[in-house]
Amino acid sequence: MGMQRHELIERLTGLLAEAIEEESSHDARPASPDSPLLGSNAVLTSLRLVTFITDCESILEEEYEIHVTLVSEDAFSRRKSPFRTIEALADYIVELSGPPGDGAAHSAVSE
Amino acid sequence: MGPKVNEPKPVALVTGARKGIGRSAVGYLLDRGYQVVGCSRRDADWEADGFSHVRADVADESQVRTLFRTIRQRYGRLDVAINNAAVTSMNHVLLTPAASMAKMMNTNVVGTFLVSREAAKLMRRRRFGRIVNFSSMAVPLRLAGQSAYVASKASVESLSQVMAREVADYGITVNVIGPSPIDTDMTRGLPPDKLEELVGALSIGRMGTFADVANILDFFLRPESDAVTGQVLYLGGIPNV
Repeated sequence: MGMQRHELIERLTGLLAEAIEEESSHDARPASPDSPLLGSNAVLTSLRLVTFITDCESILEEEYEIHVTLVSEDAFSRRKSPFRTIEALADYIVELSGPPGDGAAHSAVSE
Repeated sequence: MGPKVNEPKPVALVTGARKGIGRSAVGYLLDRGYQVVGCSRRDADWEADGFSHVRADVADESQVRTLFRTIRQRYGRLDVAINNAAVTSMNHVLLTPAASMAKMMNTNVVGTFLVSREAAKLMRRRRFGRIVNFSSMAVPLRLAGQSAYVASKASVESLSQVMAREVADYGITVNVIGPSPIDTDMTRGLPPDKLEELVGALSIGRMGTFADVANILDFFLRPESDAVTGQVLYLGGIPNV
């Protein structure tokens, strides 16, 4: 099953909101597509980010049949991390999943 | 300890399940009420109720991911992962080809890493998991002639101990069994004098059995062992070195 980029951003932002809420029951910061995921201003702790990224992979597989490995040497070696915001992450997933209808063994995300 | 009555059967994965300790571990888990998935590089030539086999090389990341996709789709959970798959060869370090070292590191270390990582991802959903990895008495014995194998198993121990810290918050324990030599294809490949030397260096100077391993599995897998993690338990006693 394929999906649109905006739909992906919406789903991942919802997941981020859940993660923030679980981490800080009071004083929770709002989740948005441009919430910082990395750095001193990050909305999640580093451990919670690990869980969040793992949850993203699971959701992609189970809800959209998109089989991608988000964490890779390539992802870590990029000048601009694909994990810096939800929008950046969505763009990275679009890139990894390939164009729709390319015959790949997985579903694709379209722009 | 097996599952409680009326609860869905827990699910266990055993790597290197086709023969030897892996096959015995499958029987052990089936007897205790688990649904067991086994994997090996070759097809299993035997069947058992509650057991399914997936052909996979644990050193291959894409094959491991496919294996876990199968487990997730079929069962939606994983309670126990036993990383038994391993390869060994015996050579003086001066005569050990780099390819032998690479093969042992790939299967024994990378394989254990990949399976443990994917297992922890699945286990953390239910905030429960038991990962059991295999080392060897050859590590504390610093067994001459097994530098590559010992290095790989020492890496498995360190990997397990660090991972134990990192996944503790998810309710997952990671422990290691270091069996004394057990009569399997792996030990049958050792020269008899080396095997005798190995057994003779143990406080309990006899070959190990799967029952020895099962006793430790009982301890590591039981729910009450949720505070037991990052441990390496050698069988056969303190080496007489």
